[in-house]
Amino acid sequence: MTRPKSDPAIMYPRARGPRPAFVHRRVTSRLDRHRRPAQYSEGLADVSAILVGSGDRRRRSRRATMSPTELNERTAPSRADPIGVPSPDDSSAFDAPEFLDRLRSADRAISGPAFEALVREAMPRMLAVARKFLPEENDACDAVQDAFLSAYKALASFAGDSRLTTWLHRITVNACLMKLRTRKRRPEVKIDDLMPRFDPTGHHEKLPAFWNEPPSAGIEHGEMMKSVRSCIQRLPDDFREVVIMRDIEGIDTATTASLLAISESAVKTRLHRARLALRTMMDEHTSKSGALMTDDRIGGDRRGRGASSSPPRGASPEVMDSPLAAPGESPRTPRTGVRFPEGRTNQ
Amino acid sequence: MTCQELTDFIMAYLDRELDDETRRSFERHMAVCPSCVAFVRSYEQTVRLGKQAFDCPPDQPAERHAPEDLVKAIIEATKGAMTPHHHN
Repeated sequence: MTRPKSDPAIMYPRARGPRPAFVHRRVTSRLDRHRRPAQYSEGLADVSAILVGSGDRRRRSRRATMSPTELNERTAPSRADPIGVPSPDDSSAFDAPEFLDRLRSADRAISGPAFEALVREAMPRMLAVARKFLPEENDACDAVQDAFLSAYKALASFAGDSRLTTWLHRITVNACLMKLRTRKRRPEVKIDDLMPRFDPTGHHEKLPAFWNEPPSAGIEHGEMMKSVRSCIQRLPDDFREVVIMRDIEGIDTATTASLLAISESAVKTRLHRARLALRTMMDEHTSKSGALMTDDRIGGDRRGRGASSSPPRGASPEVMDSPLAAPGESPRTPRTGVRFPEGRTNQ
Repeated sequence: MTCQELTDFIMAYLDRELDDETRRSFERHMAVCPSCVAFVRSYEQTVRLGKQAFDCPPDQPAERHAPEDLVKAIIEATKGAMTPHHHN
């Protein structure tokens, strides 16, 4: 098989010769509705190998190289049951060496119940992850199934240097990315149409408004979250996946870059543009509903041109509380808060 | 620094990745431009709302239980798959 130069590394790093295909059988008609046969490489030697993408009709394959990142650590105490299958609410027990040995056992009477326990334990969280990438329930179920099958085949190569759930999370994200590449493309908005606009002198064409703090609970909060999810789902796939991976799933830039087979700077650029696009959509949405927007657009004739020395409504002249700051965190924390410099200086 | 240029630097500023000179220029602009203060603040709110959007109450039943048909499909499919072997 000749590898196209434009697709560097259809990366099956340890495979030799033609890439074997594995088409797994599925048993439920509901799950079969929108699926295509999935391909897997076999004979994988390590975790990274099962994260190799295939079937990218658009442009690329991907490989995860990574040192494991701890995601959403759970700290439940270990309580394995007498046959070595952890109870469903005891995720840490799934990392016990004894349980891993059971999972890897060649004896199906041993590995079968262990794997089923793992599926039952990990699936809700994996499904929740998949639904973020793949709003269609069938697609999400497909991705989770693919992820579990990939994991099952690679269990022997699981090095145990990260938590099993962390490892599964990474595999699930990769399965979702692969599913996004192979599903029927949906019409997408153009990201450029959602970028903020500026006049020839570099000033905002549309004066930004301060947003109210959103409701923190209740029906209004639920409606707000629903509209935010809707905005995220409207993002073009290339940008949506980066937002989900970085901002929502908390995957670091290096790992995101590796999974997407793009550079870290490309991840940052996409993330920034995705956030800008989301801001535009939320601004449009909330200006219609009034959910977030104050009626105090900056300005009138000031038009945000730096002419005013009076602080804008909602911001302290010295320091602006960061909406990203953790509860109790000082608003002067520079990490996220936008701080006005002391002693204003006109440019 | 114009509003347009500042917009390009927002994420790097929030991530504290700007060099000192650019950061000072950013902050000088913010000190006198209410539009950009509003814009940056809404940018931060966008990120925060995005993080919250998929949070589910921990007791939400749909998030706690695996769909039985999907569990069975996976278990069934593994029977036709390669059995994991010990490598040790």
